[in-house]
Amino acid sequence: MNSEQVETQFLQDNQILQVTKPARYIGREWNMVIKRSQDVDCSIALGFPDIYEIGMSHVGLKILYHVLNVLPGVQAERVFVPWPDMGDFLKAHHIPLFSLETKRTVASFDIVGLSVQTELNFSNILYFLDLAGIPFYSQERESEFPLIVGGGPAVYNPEPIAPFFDLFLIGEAEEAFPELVDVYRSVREMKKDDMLRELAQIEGVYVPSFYEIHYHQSGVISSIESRGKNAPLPVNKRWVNNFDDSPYPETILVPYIGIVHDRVPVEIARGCTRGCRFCQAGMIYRPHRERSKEKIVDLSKKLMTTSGYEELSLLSLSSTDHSQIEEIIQDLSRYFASQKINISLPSLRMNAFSIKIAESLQRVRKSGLTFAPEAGTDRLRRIINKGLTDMEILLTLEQVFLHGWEEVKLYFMIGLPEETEDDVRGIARLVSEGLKIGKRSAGKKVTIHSSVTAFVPKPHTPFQWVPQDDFDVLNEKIHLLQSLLRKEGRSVRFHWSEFQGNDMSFYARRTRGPKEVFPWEHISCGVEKAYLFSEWEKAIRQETSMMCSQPDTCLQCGVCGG
Amino acid sequence: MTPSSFRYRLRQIKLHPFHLISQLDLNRLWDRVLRRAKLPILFSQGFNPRPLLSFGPATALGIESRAEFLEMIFAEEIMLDAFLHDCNHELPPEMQVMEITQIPPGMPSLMQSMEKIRYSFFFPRTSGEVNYPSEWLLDDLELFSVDTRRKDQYMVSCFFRGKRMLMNPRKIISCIQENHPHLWGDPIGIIIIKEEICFRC
Repeated sequence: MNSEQVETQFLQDNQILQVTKPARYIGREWNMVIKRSQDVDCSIALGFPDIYEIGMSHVGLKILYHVLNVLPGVQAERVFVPWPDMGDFLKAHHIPLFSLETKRTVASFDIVGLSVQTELNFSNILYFLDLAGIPFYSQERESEFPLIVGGGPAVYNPEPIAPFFDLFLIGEAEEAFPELVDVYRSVREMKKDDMLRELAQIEGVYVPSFYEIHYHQSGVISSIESRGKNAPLPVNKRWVNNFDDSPYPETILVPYIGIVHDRVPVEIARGCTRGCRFCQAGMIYRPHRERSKEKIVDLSKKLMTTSGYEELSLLSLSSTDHSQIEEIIQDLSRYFASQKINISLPSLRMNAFSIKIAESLQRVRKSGLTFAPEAGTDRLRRIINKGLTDMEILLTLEQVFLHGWEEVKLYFMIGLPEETEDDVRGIARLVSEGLKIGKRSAGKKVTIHSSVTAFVPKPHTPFQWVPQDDFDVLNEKIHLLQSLLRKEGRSVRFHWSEFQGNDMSFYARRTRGPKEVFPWEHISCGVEKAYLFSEWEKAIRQETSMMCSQPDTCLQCGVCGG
Repeated sequence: MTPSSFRYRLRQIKLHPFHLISQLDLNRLWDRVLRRAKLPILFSQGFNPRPLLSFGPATALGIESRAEFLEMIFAEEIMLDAFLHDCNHELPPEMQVMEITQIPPGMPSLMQSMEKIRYSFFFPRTSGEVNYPSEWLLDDLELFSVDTRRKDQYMVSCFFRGKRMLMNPRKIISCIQENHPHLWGDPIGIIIIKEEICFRC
């Protein structure tokens, strides 16, 4: 079935009505880019190993779609993983996975970029390749297949999926991808191995086949070596130096169906100054960079005008930490008030300043607020360097309920390093206290939703040396928390599911030695291992670290040279 | 409603592939179209202001339509031609607004004034000789025309009235299939188009 048949026949057939939400597969969103085929010499499928509603919510994809489509001769198109009912449907009818823009098959593109957000996407990568009719292994693919490129935060630990990719872009792809396209144009006629050798010269490119991993008998890695001088060791991440001038879309795709984050995102800062020790984003997106107020206001106006969206989100890892956040919100609120456009902040810290900001955002309607205390006691919060005490949390909740909100959502983790039973009980204590305070200050019953997830130690963080909790231990903690919270009729949700498979304890559930070579040691996010280890040692001593926003509090993490 | 408000009724088409977006999606789309086109829509009062926009009967998912009706209330009187131009500039060709009329504020709502809905069913020709029924009898259905002249298709057009008016016409197909299993073995390829809505006033 060619692209025209997909468009006219397949989407016209009543059979498509058998799948859930067929509108996921029609494309045609407002502001979609299609160039005339005679104007295109390099086609790129921007693949996302998750469904439409999730992929369409991803800011990185929006940035790349823009950055690539502004390049003359380049056509970037989106491909999401279909829901299994559609996947089965495509297979049953021998229709290979197609793009949303021109309905071309994925295999017919020059380059396929896959943005990998978490380890949970790994299996979907294979599903994606399978539906596209592309062989899984890089070595099984000659140059008649597209170049398969991986990127995104999960590829800072690329080895579990390395055999399936031709190369990875490490770091912020809006920097490296246009360069990759440039080089690709000049080497596309070469044999694949020679082509990869040329592409490996681009900073931030990791070509797995050019590296060798050696092991001790125990299975622990002894060394990672590059084959020849053309493959750098380590591969350093790319990052946007001049963030204020970095490209950002001025039009945005407007979907027809509801998506997870159905609003205009304006990225106001990248990176985070806080240094929470469990947080991978806080490490790999260093250094902290801000977009200027002028740029933010200008982009917001353009994006809202060209999209017609009803909500604007000022996005960053810790939005209230932007040095001009109050002025930005003032300006934007004044401008958008008459158009009934809401402004939202995705990440609020638990302090009086955040409540003041939230108050200024919601003049009329008081919807819920979400915070992340992460752990149940002061002790454990010092260990993870959250920089938040029980007292501050409860004072914030008091302010929240005094100001008229009636619903709060709190995010916690269990299974953090050095956690004891008291820390788990602490979560229930905090929630109970919060409810009492809420009832007192609001004068009526309030609701606190607790969301609890199991901690997963992440590469390139101070906790990369620690084991993940055992299933049984986690289950015990869950049961304890459930009994404590349910006794009082509290709402609690656990995000936790088990799977049967190979024994992963060697990889996930052992303490690693201080000198052990990690499987991601050849990939550098700029933050030095010595710094991460010193943070881990401080964690054990329950010592906290300062924010890195002031010059005199630099912790020498290595990313920006102080 | 504010003292000065102006009510308009629109007819919009919704053709392939947008027959795959739902009524809820259409609602969302209009929110955004009105903002992009900078139209003087009025908003409801209260905690969660919504544009004053109301739709006629929802079209079932998968059915194309030449008769999507909606009404909107503006703060000022608008030029109808300019409206069509501005609005259609923000809509894909398959979802253009075909007509707009101003209507007096006191008129009954779209749903109240609806009398009947006409759907056309296009059945693909099957191989071999088939005696198509030239007359159909179904409760609450008023047969409009049967067209067997076209080579590739057999077209039936009927008015749905009474209780059937708001039902999914796809149910009619299953009903026909039960009664005439030899005619169309497989409902795939049967295209249904919502052709028109007749109003009492």
